[in-house]
Amino acid sequence: MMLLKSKNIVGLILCTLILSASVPMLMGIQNTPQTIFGGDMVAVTQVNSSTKLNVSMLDTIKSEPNVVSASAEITCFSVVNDQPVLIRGVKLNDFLALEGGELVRGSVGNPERFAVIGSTLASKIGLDVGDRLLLTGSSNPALFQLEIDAVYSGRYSEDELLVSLPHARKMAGLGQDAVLFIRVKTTNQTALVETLEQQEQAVVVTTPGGIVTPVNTEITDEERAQQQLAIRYLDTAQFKATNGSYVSIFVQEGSNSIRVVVTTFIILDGALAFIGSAAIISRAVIERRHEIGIISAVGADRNYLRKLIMRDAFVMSIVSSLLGLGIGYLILIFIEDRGLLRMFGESIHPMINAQILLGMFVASVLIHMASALMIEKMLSRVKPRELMQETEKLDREVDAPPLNIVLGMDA
Amino acid sequence: MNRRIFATILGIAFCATYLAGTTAMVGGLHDTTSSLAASFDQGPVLVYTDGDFANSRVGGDLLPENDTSFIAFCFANVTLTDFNSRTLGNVYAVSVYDPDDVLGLNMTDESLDTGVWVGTQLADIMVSKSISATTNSRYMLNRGGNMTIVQVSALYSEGSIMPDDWLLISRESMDALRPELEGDYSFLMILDSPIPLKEQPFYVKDTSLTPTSGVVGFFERGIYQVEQGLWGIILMSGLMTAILVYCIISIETEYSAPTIRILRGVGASREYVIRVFMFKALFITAIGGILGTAMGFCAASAISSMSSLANVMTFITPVANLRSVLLPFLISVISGAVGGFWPAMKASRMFVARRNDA
Repeated sequence: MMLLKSKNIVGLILCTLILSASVPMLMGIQNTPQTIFGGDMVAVTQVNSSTKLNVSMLDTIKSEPNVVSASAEITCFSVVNDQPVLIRGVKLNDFLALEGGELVRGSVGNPERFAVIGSTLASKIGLDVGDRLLLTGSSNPALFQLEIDAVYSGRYSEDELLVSLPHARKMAGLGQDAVLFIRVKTTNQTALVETLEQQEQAVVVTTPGGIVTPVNTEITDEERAQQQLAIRYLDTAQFKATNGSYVSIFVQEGSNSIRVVVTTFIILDGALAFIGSAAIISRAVIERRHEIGIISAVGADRNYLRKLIMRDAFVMSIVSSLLGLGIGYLILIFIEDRGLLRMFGESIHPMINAQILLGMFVASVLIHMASALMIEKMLSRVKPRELMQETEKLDREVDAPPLNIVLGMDA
Repeated sequence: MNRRIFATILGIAFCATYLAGTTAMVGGLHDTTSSLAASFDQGPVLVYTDGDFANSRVGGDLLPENDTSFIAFCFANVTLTDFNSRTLGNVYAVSVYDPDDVLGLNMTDESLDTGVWVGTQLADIMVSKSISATTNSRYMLNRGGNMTIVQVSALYSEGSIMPDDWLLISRESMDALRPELEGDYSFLMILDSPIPLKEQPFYVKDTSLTPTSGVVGFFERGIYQVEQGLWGIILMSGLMTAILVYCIISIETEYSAPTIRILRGVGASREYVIRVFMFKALFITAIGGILGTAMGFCAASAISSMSSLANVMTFITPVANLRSVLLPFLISVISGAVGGFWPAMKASRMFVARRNDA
């Protein structure tokens, strides 16, 4: 084992860490909008701001045998204690049933007037049961003085503030009985769509995978994508009338960009890991140049040297990739537990599953092996005598002028 | 300069490019959001000293001057009791001073009793507790040891900017409940001001200004949170630069070992050897940092201008400011110093065994 040294393995671990700590986080960022608005549920939304979604549809949906639970909701965006906070107008029991959540502290006495804060948000902005807070409107000017009734924990986001639907309607400027969307947990999505088709109201159904189905209406793909985003974020008539659709466009552009930006960063991280890996393996090989030179001088051919280097690089890459993944995993857990990385008020939950871990492991090994192969190719061009020299062959020696010129003598 | 050092400089330049490009993009996103936020109508602005209005206080002598349209509120958290001894806790009683009658409740003079108004949601809550919420109903309001009796005049409409769960009372009743607030207010709502709010008399230490529409503030602060993600990029870029410098200086140390031994043999101090290699490390990282910073702006601008082809981030223009210029350079140099120090130390420990030492 010529190259197998602990300092080389530590270097490669650091390179693997760049991948293992950033890729699940980047994929978590990509997943955040779906986590907030859909999770693993079907979302039934209004088609546009002129056709309101009535909360009464919730009862129709809940009465279906294939529907496990459903929650009518309004999402609002506001600022609490100088922090961006996503406010969700809900019927509390429906929301908790859908999310599999529970109140961990406090209780709600009045279902029409409450403020329930997510446990992560509570610790982040320093509010707890009994504290009063100022809440302003979202796209509609409003103000509320609310008292925190309870703290909830849930399966998805614990970074939100739950309020009653009447409060959220006032924040979003929606009329009586209107909601922005109904999230549904169902065992049969097709049956749900068929049930909705029997209703007269035009709605749009979005599945967890992002497949959008217009019901009782026909819209183009482009309109559909724009409307889905606009409805979910800021599509209120008053907001459009006063502020235009700049923010809506902003959000839409931002959401569209997430996937491309995340992919770009993953590629850049891969390139960084490759550069680092190449430097470390290069250093490891140069450290052994003398031994490699001797082996070459006594007859080892290029294939033998390649096998020697690649075998060691393979062992190092396997060990460092495994350790790098493990340390990266611990770093991610630390960041997630403390809610250190937040975007638009939501903690980023790193996406960790067997597929991603395996993918990162393979990518890390391939990066290390590719860099080793590159170094080996470069090494094969150097003559054994040069490898064995104590000092590097300097360019100035090659280009050194003849002695007679140096001495000022004619040839 | 040999090819190895040239390759290292390119590697460091890549790290600096990554950092400079990201910093410039995030800076652009910040500027775009700030300018969008500044151009938006975010509704009337609330002026207060504590998010819990029961603890907030704005001096009565600090009310805005002539041309500023405002409403001043006094707030008390009270227990409401009807004359059948049914009680409702946590009721928000508020007195309103509305000099321009913006709310249309005729509360333009605090010395006059303009009646008691109940919000529709509060009325519903009272009914759910079997407390009558009709006009002319009378209640006792208690706060601590203070008490007052009020009689309902009317319900106020749901369309008001005020919450629907407030009980609007006269200033006289408020003074009975909160005598310590006499002459002062809990918070102000500024509807229109010809001069910047931060230049108004009410803007003193601990004063908060919050627009009543929060969506723009949400996105503005959301962008600031995105900026925190930059630390991850800084860490990765710095780490990689340190690794690169460590490797190159280690290699240079290996190749220069005979020279170092001679230098040490003829009396060069350890500090001298360290200085030589640290200078080399800093030179490599400085060149890489400058090159990478320049490349970062080029790459970010190229991505921004070509983004329309991929329909991505067309609204972000990379921004070159002091931070986006200095940060990548400084991170490169600091990382270079960290990465170069250990091999330089190692080099300084090399020595030649003299003949008479043997």
